[in-house]
Amino acid sequence: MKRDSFSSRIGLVLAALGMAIGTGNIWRFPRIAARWGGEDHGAGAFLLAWLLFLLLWSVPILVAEFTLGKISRRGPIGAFARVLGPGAAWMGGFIVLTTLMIAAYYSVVTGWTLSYLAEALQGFPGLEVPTDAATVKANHARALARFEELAGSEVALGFHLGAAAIGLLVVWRGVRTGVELACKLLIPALFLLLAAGVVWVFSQGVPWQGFNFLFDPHWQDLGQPKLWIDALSQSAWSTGAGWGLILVYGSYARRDEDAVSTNFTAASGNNIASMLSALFIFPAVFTLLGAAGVPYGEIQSALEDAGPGSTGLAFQYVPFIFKAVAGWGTALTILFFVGLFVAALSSFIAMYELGARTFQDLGASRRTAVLVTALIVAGVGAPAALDMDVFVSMDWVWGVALILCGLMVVWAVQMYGVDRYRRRLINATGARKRMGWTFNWLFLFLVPAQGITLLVWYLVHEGTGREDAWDPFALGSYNAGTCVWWWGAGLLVLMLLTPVIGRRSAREHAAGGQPGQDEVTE
Amino acid sequence: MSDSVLTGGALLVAVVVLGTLLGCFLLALVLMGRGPRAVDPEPEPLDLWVPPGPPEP
Repeated sequence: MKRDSFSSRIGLVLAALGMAIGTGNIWRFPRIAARWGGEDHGAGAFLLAWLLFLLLWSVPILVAEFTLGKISRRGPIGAFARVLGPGAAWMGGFIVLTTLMIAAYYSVVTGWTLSYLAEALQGFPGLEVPTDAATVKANHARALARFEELAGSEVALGFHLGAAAIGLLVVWRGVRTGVELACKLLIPALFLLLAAGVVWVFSQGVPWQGFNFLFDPHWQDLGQPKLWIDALSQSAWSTGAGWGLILVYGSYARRDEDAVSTNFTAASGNNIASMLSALFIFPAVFTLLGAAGVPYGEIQSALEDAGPGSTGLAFQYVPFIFKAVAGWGTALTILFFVGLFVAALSSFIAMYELGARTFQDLGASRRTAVLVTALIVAGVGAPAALDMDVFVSMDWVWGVALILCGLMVVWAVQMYGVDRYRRRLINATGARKRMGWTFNWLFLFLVPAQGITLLVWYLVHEGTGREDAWDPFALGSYNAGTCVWWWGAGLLVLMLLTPVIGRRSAREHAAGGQPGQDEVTE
Repeated sequence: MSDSVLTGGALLVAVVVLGTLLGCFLLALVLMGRGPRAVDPEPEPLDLWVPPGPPEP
């Protein structure tokens, strides 16, 4: 069978890094970390818990997912069907549904970053140099108003469609000359941009205050359940574990590619990008807002403010804080928004590729599969671009669904047999670094326990206790009802379709490749 | 919060977090660079479900 594949190991690693690194590294990680800083301590305790969950949740799931794709040569539906039999196709289907829904509103987010990049190139007219606390406050109000004007407007719809078109153009070219080539350009550029930000921070003098706010631990916080929930959530959402994305990239990897070291590289590289982002943002914000006379407590509030659409300080402070830097202000602002757009795009194209692989597995040609994915992304994302309540609900419902997706990967491993999966599928397929017995303990106990805890926390703790808790149509709020009803509807449809999609996805299709760009891989 | 020196706790966490991340990243890259382990010339077939019948046109 002829099909597209990565041209080299470095191409695979950069694509895996691109899949994992997204806007969450730049605007979510610093915000969640800042939540655990205080007047007399920093977020060190959170960082340690976050590091632990990299090893206890993200890496094990990524390794299992990558292996599913590598040995089945299929997207999520076909992978579950080939490993567990066609009756399990609905599980892979739920992963596809979740990631395509996320792709739809992530296209809106990518559109926002594109819009802000365009404004940054013009120097954000209308925002002043923040010389004192009063101008900071006035700028903040104007920046918020600017976002409110954009979000939910026809302009946002236009940028969303533009982002969807960019994704289409990249993925249309195929895995090797589209996805891989884009990641070879985007990911080194992103690391260079983040590193340039950190170098600039150091050029202003060693920023002890920002560093202490990031690293100084308050050990008592380790006794707070919320810190562990925050750390696990950040690790689960940021590394791409459970999304099905690394599964799809695994399906384009050589059959003897090392699942363990590939995913250690992707997951730790993702967290390094998060740390670079925090090492740039924390000191910059403390230095620049501090110089404008903003009190320490207000700077801390700015850092942990969820902001509109959970975008943190990216759209409410960054557009103006660098204006205070003589000579380099515009360049630094552009650098930030280029980095944000690049991070968004590298994840977005991975989601696009998941759709394309899935429809190819179902028998469509590459071009038809990419076009169908583009139509879904553009069509489903349009209401989220035009209405922030729809955006918030989609972000909530499908964000939490990712935990369920991670649990489905765990379930697949358990149904296949944890030890059998480790020995025969991970270790016996040419891996240089083999998974030891800890894999069995992780998949039998620790990983499912983490996933169930997170799911219960979000559905019960965050999703109930309000009047509209079980209303499936309560848009714009974090309620359990939207999750349960929307997931339930999706699962019902997928279970009804399973007899068809399971067999079709597992079958070999003559039309599954892309004429002219195929590579003999097996 | 000190703005003139890194606290001892902050230094410890910075070393542990950045050291672990960079260590994992570089070690994994080195392992990847060494390529796959020698593959068994007669591997056992993988237990995968294959639909009956010829490939669809």
